[in-house]
Amino acid sequence: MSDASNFGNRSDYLQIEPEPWSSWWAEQYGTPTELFDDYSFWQRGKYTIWVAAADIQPGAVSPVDGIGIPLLRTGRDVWKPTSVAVIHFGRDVARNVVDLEADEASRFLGREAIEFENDARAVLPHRGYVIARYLGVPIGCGLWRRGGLASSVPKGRAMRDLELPRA
Amino acid sequence: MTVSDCTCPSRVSVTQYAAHMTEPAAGLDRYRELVADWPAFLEACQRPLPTVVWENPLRRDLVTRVGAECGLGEAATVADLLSCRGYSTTALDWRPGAWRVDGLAKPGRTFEHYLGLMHVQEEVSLAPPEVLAARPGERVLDLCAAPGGKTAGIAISMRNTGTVIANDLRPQRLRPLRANCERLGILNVVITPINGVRFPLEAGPFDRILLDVPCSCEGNVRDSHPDARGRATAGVAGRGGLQATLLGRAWKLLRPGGVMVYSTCTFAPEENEVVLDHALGDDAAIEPFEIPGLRHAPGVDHWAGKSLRDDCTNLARYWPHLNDTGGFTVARIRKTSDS
Repeated sequence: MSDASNFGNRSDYLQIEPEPWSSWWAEQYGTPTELFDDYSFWQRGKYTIWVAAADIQPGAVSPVDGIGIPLLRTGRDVWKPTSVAVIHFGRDVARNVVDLEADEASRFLGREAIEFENDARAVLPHRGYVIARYLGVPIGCGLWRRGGLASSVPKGRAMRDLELPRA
Repeated sequence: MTVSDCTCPSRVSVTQYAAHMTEPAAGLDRYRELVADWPAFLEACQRPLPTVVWENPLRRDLVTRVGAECGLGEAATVADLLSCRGYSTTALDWRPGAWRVDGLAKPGRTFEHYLGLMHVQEEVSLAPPEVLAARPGERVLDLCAAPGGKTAGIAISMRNTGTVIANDLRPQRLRPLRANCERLGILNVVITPINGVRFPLEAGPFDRILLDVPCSCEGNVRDSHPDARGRATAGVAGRGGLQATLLGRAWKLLRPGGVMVYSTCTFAPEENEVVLDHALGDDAAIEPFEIPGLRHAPGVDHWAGKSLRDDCTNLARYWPHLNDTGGFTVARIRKTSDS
């Protein structure tokens, strides 16, 4: 578990145990539990968990502005995977994933919400973050609620009319 | 001991160093004696740069899946994905997994770029990571890292293991550095926002260091981007002090036997050979190197009436007309272990 003293706006990154973060991911998305075996976990402040190479050594350097990639935001009642982590670690997910058509993917990447009423894909039972997929690859994470998908693509990365390959 | 007695490169002040510099000449005419085919050089400088992309080996499985979904087969590359949307691609002779792409005006607005399947980078900027040749598990410093294309190249050559400290001073340049590393799935990078001339010595020693120093950016003469044109207005003489000071600091961070690559996107000997001649001591050897398929001209051992270190001729100067790229200068320096 994380170091209880590592709270607030501190800029240092502390190495933490993979649990409960790796188990949460495996449970949430049905991925193999050994998915994160060869990585190290880091925490900065209270709310963001980072994942990096297993043998990474920041050494005596401060301040640090990033280690590996951010994996999870844990500040709200529902933990949110980051879009960059979804693309990297969301390749072989078994559940809480929704496949999008080209026009839906295009809107999703432009941060538009997508309605799923009367749609066979609307099988998710509860509110939570799901992985959006296009052409079999994860493209980002979205908040599933009341039959719709709110895109969580970061504003800085979102693009309307992104040029997409088509099946 | 006075400052002038001190041989330690990091103690060189900007004013002291200015005495070693020649006055900047206007334009590129000053390089006439260095360029074998002057008309070809001038002609190349007028042409726009080709767009070059490289496939991210860390995302090979995603490229395979998209290729299969698009009916291109599992061996499909990023170039195949772009080709089937009408762009013409040509593989680089010297660098597997990289292509020139015609007609792709906004490569940053493609699915492949968003997903980190590929990165867009000036062709000759792919050279410094090749010359550094970092290996898995090593500890590497990229002291002036933003926007991170070369950092990514280094991290990937280390197969996403070990540690790359990617440092850059300016906050507005750290943002693209972080965004590029995250988009490409680079997991062995630690990003630091530290002034390179004061980078903590306790963070070393490093097995390899890339020192891609701030420079006058003459080599961007073919870059049509307004930012690049703006940068290129800086004179060649004004940066030597900072470059020498950064080199002195980086040298202290390198382990004996380690390799440093010093690179600039400029032609000026004042920012390359003269800096190395001034800042390097007897414990340094500038090594010859060759990237098969990428032609270069040698460095100079004299400039503006001054003799320089003999091994300065081992520098590689990539003139734009030699490979149809931007301009670049690269030196590979080994710290001899008996220092």
